[in-house]
Amino acid sequence: MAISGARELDDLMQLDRSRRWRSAAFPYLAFAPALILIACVSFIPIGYAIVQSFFRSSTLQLGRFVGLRNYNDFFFTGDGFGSFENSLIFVAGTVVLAVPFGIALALVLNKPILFRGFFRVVLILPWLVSNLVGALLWAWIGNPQYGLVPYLLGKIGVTMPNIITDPTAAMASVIVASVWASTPLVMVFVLAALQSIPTDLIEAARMDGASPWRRLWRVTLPMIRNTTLMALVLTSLHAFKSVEIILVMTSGGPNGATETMATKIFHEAFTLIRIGVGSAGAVTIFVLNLLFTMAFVRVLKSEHGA
Amino acid sequence: MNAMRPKRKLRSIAGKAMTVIFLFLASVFAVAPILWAVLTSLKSPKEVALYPPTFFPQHLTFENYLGAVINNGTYLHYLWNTAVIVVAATVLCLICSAHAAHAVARFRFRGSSVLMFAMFSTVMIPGVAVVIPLYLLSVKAGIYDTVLVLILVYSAWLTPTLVWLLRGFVLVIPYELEEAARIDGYSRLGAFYRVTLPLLRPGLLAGAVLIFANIWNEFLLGYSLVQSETARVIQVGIYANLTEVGVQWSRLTAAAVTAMLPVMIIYAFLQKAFVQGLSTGAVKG
Amino acid sequence: MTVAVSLRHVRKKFGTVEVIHDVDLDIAPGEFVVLVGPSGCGKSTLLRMIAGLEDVSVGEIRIDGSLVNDIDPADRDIAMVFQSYALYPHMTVRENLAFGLNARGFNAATKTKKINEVAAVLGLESLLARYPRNLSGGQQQRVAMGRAMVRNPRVFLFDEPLSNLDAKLRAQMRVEVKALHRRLRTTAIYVTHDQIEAMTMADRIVLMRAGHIEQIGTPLELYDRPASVFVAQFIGSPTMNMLQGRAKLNNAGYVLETEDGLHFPLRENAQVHDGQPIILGLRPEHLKPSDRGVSCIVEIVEPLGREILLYGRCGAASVCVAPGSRLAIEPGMTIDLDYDVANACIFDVETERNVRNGD
Repeated sequence: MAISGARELDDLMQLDRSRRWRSAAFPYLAFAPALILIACVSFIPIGYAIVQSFFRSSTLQLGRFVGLRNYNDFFFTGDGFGSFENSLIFVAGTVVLAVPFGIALALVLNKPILFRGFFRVVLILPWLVSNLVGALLWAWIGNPQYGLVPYLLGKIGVTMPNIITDPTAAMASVIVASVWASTPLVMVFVLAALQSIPTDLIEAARMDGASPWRRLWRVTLPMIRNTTLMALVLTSLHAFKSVEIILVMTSGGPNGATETMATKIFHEAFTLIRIGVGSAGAVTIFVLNLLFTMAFVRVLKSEHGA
Repeated sequence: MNAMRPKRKLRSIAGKAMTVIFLFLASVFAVAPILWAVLTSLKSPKEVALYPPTFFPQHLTFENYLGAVINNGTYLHYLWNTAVIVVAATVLCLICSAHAAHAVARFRFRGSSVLMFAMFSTVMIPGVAVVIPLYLLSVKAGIYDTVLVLILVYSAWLTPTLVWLLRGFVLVIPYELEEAARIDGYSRLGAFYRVTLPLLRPGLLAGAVLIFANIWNEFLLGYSLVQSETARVIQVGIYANLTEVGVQWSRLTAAAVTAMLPVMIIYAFLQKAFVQGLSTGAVKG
Repeated sequence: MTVAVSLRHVRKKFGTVEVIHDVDLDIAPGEFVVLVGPSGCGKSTLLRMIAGLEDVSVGEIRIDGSLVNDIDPADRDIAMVFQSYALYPHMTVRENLAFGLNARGFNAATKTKKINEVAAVLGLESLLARYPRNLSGGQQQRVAMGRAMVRNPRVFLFDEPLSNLDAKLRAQMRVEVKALHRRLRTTAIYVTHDQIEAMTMADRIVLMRAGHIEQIGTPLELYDRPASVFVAQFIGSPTMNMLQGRAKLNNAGYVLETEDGLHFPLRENAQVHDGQPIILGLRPEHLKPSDRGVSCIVEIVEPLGREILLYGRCGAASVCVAPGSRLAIEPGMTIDLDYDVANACIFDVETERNVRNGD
């Protein structure tokens, strides 16, 4: 795609030395504003947070150097490891439900059905609502005392587990809210990918005698593999970092049953004012996400190199 | 010879029925909380407190909207703040991202992959972790508790995603167009502004939608970096309403529903561009 | 005669617009039929209806006698080669070939045997492990054909398969496809807009125009006895010369009298009447420079190597002459053109149809 074309054109135009230097500098200069912005606002704070994780920090100063003690405190005291487990459960629960659900919706919306436009708008609404408001609404709908869902279920004779006191129900409720918020984006991504599949490929599969199921598995899904993986990674990253939903709905309770690493960081930093410990947890998430993404890039590249 | 399967028409009717049911259930799931919020916002506080809860409002009333939104100067002020931040951040972010995306898509310069990776890695850290350092930085820079700090931070946070989106877009635009402009005498930058940027419009619009939705709905940073009411954003405003007054669902839902509207309107207008932008930038890039 | 594929009173509507009007067609087993015509004439739509990719609005399509209107493409036991080849990009050549077999549940040994056979015929053995993106256009084309062949279908459908190839490759592939058909003897329906492909490959040509069948016949039938002006001008390159005027009866018989008074003799039993506005059609190769005949001023001489093409004027009418060899004729010369009246076609101006067919 003409990436080296820029150099060739320079040769062709026989630019003199100074213009050539300016030409070579162009990409760096173009990149500069973005880079400066991100460096100041993201790199520096992240770097500082990493440093903080090794110190006994308070809000305003670094304090004493304590090595890995913050990490120790995060994971091995106050049920830190439980928060790691909860993070995994929360992320896995969100991804396992939201991604297939989003793909299924995209597949359905790709076909010419009645009111397709209407459905496309309705199904993207959860993404347009802020996490905070969404969490509030779900908390309220599921509230055992005055929520709509327990009431309706009660009317048909089903007692819904109390999402405030029951640990499993609490985790289930935050996962539901998380799936609700994450599915639309998966759906939009996958739908865009589906629409880029050339129609004659599907027709060829039909002519080849493949049943609709076979066409789905052997032709359609493999062709949207990359986009699906990207949606999966983005959803996981987002779920890992998510705090609003859990904080608003359960605040990590009951008894830490829904306390993920992200919310624990929040509590360490803002409630317990153990900044260093919070940062330690954050750095861990950062590293985990990095590894995860690098693995994903590796998988992406491997297909193409065939 | 192979046996003929049941005729097409029968199969498709059953399939269509299941599809419709599936879509219907999914839509109910998607819309239920929002619908409930809208219905609640139209009920009087007394009716909201009723248990068992009523479904449709028995007495339709707009008092919640009047109280929480229209006659509420603070709320409107929050809306204004957020709007200002969104517009400024969109401009800043798009400028930075468009140039960077162009650079990355067209030139293979040394360190480009490192820079890109470094840029994307900023997406991987939880916002929570950077809050304290950002707080310290903003205090030192004297911009803590202002609208400016949010503009800068949001722009920086969204730039990686925008660069990735716009890069895909630039790749689809033929390089020959820019070459033709340069032969016509324009500089690299000139060619970019005159040729590439106009063609980038759907991508920019899609990016604008993304930015708008993300900033308008953001809570954590708005909560941490701004304390006073002067510079507060809308989501924080809703949250504050929640904790100050206790849970008055009728007024809360009115405030929340009003907050949802701008995003929905923007999306409704730019929907086509958004989907097109996403397919070109995200899928082909 | 048994019929492999038959279409009866077939119409196709898209919404309220009818694009195919009352088509009847019978294709014999083993026949290679070419559907040809200009863009938008409906040939691809017709092919897709036979394939099952489009619904039939009115009429019946039968394959081997059975009605297939409502049968899914997968169950019609036919195979199609697409213009864009439509190879599955994420599968190797072997997997592409195997795809249709997998759907029908053959065992592994049979599948391998069939694939290897087809690969041998098409020269694909060394390419079986490659991905489509690593193949040239011609190679992809062969894989697309292989995918159709490996299933041993009742009918082959081709949708402009050579359009994406360069001219030289196209000429080569034409020969290969025809040789393949001669070998397999499977009924084939081939869509193209290129009349050369139609002429060289077809057992019979179906020439379509605006949703109608204009003429069905062997290539030579369409060439020698075109049913209308449209057929005459579509088939054959360079295009048939069309001379307008009126039929006039003189003591030698009927002639075409052009506006500027030139006379072109017509054959003896020409079914025209005096004063009838007609068009005389003469193929370039039928006009021969001679010592007597209609006078023509040569304007352009095109040297083609083995022969020359002459472009000139007879009076006000432009003509093209293909003498079949290299003659020493220069632009600006005046020559006399003679022709065998039996070779000329006469078309009525109003109906645009060949008078021999009766109107």
